[in-house]
Amino acid sequence: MEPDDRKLVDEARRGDTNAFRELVTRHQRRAFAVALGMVHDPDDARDICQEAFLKVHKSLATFEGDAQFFTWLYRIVVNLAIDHLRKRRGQQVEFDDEQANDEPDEGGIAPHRTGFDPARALADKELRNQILAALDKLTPAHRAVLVMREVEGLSYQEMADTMKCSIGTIMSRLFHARKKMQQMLIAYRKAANPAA
Amino acid sequence: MKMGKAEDERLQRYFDGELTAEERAQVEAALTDDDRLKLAALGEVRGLVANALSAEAAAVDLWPALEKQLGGGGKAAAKARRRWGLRAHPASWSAGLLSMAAAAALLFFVQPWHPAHAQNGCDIESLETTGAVASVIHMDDAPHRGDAATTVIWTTEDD
Repeated sequence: MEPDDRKLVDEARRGDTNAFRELVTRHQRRAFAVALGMVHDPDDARDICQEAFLKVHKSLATFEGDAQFFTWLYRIVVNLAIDHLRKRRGQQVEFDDEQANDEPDEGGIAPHRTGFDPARALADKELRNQILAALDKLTPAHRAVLVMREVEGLSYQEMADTMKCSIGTIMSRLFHARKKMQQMLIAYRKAANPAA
Repeated sequence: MKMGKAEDERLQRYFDGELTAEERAQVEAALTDDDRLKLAALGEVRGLVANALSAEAAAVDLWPALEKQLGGGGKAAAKARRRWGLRAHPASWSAGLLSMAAAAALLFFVQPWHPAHAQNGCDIESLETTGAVASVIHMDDAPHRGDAATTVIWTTEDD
């Protein structure tokens, strides 16, 4: 049976490089997925993840035993990604609702499927590019909550803690992000296959 | 019945597992066909986003770069090198160290040399001169290495 994260953290604290390597191996792909979903650029996502793991390594001594390692790691990844977006786009990137709700609200989630089988996203590079392009069109606030929730399954409370806002704000952002993603994917489906 | 945003947000909380057991039961009891389609749509978006990002991340291996950074002093060392204007390239380091050594050697040879002052162990109480003027100055601080205090005596010939 594989050792749990807590045991690996304890061993890494005592200087066991192999234990830290196992933590990296275990979490690097999901951390990268979160970073990529937020910053879109693979090289930037890689830099963010490396920096996050270095921060984790440096702070192992202060890691609280009752916290989840992955929550701690992904919080660092998300915060670094947010900092990166702020630097890349200047100080215009604000994570408030004024920007998050920059488009008029026209109803809720449509009772329509996009028509894409999610499994296809694993093998279809073109579909993946479309999904990443759609993510990139969301505001950083929308993108952050969507990726944290859909990739990492973070709870509303965990996301609120990470983004330093209320649970109500998280719910609102998630709702808008999903709605916009759905709209963009339906539009792409129609453009790619008008007969559908 | 047309669903409003509040109902959709409640459906979303149901989808995300953020409701209490009692609230969940209430939602399930009132689910419409549209609600089921919306839940399917939410699941589809989740699957597409998660799978797309997971697939892009499948080949990622951060360890080789991390291992180098952890073993070689990491970012702190790189930051220090940038701060001091030194490059990481070994040849540049060698050239820099040679330049520093040469500068140190130059300073060593051109600086005024202050040997320890010769001590004769004598106390001067009076000084008599013939055909000259003697000046005696006691200094508590020592301009010469190794001296606690210095007495300077010099003479000038009478005109």
